[in-house]
Amino acid sequence: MIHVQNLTFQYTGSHHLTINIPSLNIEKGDQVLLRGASGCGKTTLLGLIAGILTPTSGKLQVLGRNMSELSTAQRDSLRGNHIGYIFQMLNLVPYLNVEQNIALSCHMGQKRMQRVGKDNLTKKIEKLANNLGLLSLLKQEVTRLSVGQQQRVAVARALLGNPELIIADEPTSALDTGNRESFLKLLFEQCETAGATLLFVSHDDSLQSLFRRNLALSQLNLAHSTFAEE
Amino acid sequence: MIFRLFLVIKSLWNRRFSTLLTISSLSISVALLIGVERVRQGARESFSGTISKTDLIVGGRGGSMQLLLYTVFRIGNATNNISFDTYKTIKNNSQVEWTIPYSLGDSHRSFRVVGTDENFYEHYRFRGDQILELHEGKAAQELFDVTLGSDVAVKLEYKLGQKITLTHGAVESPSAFAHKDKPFTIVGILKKTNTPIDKSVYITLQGMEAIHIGWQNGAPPQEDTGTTTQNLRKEDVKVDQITSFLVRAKSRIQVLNLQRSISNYEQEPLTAIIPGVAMSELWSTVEYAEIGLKVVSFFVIVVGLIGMLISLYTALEARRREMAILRSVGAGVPTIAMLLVAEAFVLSVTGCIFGVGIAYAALLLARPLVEAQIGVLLPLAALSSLEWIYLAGLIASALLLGLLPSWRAVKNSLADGLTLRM
Ligand SMILES: Nc1ncnc2c1ncn2[C@@H]1O[C@H](COP(=O)(O)OP(=O)(O)OP(=O)(O)O)[C@@H](O)[C@H]1O
Ligand SMILES: [Mg+2]
Repeated sequence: MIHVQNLTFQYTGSHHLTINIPSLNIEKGDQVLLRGASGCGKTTLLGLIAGILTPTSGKLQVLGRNMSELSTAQRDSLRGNHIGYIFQMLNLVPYLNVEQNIALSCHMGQKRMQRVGKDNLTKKIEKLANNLGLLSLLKQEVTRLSVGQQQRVAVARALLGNPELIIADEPTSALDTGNRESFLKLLFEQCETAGATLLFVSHDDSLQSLFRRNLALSQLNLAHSTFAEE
Repeated sequence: MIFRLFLVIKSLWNRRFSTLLTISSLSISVALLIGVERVRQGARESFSGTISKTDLIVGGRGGSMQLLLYTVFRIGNATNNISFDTYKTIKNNSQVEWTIPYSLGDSHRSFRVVGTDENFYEHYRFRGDQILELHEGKAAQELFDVTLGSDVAVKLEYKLGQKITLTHGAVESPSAFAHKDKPFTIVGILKKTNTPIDKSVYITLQGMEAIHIGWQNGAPPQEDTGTTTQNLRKEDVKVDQITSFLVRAKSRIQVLNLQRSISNYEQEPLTAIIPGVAMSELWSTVEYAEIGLKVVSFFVIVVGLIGMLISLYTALEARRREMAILRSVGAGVPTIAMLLVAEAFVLSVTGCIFGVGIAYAALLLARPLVEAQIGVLLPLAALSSLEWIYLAGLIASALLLGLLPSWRAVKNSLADGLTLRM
């Protein structure tokens, strides 16, 4: 699913590498927790995987595609069609209601829409919303949702149209412990039903026990350790 | 595609206050542009429609502009008259279809007095093919009959049957000589034409001649000539001179020929002008006002567009999060750019639609007022091709300007990547 070999990345204008990962492999169906302190490059790595950022050097393969070889438009469509992305918070477009926010991913990714089927869209959204406990909120303004509800809407949007890879960038950091665990349980469940691979990022070490596979970015990312040693 | 338009509209609606302000500023600009265009068009049309179907205006020796001004617009005075014999000779020319004689020089309470004959009521045309019609009464026929232009009747509140006296000379002054001994009876009132016709009173050529019996070189008679209203008959008055006359040629091809032969008339020096040519010459002297109006409305449009640019720009900061979300679900740089340009499109098109609506509503309301006040008939026709071009130009400029914030949004979203900034 994701294969990394000697991947480096440096922000333009920056004086040092932000990412320098000799090797990292994530297989299909994995549910991986990627841990790391704040500033160690977690969001940057996700940006590379999602195709927002381009590697400076090395090999990054996502869903069998070599990201360095893809054009910007191809990377955008790869993301739109095959990757579901969940932000830390404020995942939702404020002027769309819950249902429209969920549908956003299908409207932007053509293949996702095809997989769902235009006529089935409402039904699919209702099913997902039901699974995530959002059914009664579909017509609700997103500004009137609790943070937990907002994050569940983001999960529904990420899952709609069965993307192969779900990327979550600290989606639970704004939730309390109880909510965090039930949110994760839901996320695992839904990823399993959809057969999606999950790459979950957090700086919260207490989540370790909940994941089958754990990775520490501080060990993987040489750029961070050299930087930290300075 | 439809969903993207939906996004654009939703996003604009989300900022509806600033959207509304932008649209209203744009639509006021558009309304002003169209309004100015209509006023310009109306003014030009009513100006050039003052006289029509007349091929030549003939007067004594003098400037052609002067001839046009006193004959058509009743401004200024003639320096030289024409003898009635000359008039009759030209009237009977085989190439001439009709003529309308004018004898000018007197006034009634600042309104010009025009001596003319039945040809005036029969042949005079304005605004294409419109004829003079009587609002009430009949055309002046008897020696001391007077028919009023519509404005005169309204302004002075005259009724049929009333008697009025005429004043010698075109301006009212205490020293001016009033033809008190020969009062005229109002026999008719013309319908409104919205041309200078409305601002004159009309008597017969003989009537004009009669009030000046005994006059020598423009001075009133020294002793009583013994002629009074009672013992004068129309048949007895011999018309000696007129001021100018209008000519309709039998065929348009002959007009230039006719003009040449009149100008070269041997018995008397004459001036013959083609009204269309002289009118456009006259109009060109006020063209700078037209250009001024256009420049002003152009700048109003520019201000409206800048307003739109500001509102799109200031919204961008608050929309960085929205852009990052759209990027995360696969929107590429072209999509982000397109959304912003589409906002400019929606704003400018809505502005145009409302602007045109406002313009027509205002025209509809202002039309009777403007017509009554300044005699300009504002055209209510569908949008002209020039106006369509203006609107298209406005929308095109809006799209071009929309590229600026969209370029900025793309830069922002590339810098932000998947980081949510608040
Ligand atoms: N757009 C950018 N341009 C330049 N440097 C950046 C940019 N974004 C992040 N960085 C730098 O790259 C490093 C890694 O940032 P990143 O956002 O990936 O950290 P993170 O691990 O996600 O942190 P957090 O847990 O706080 O979200 C930081 O030192 C940061 O300052
Ligand atoms: Mg981060």
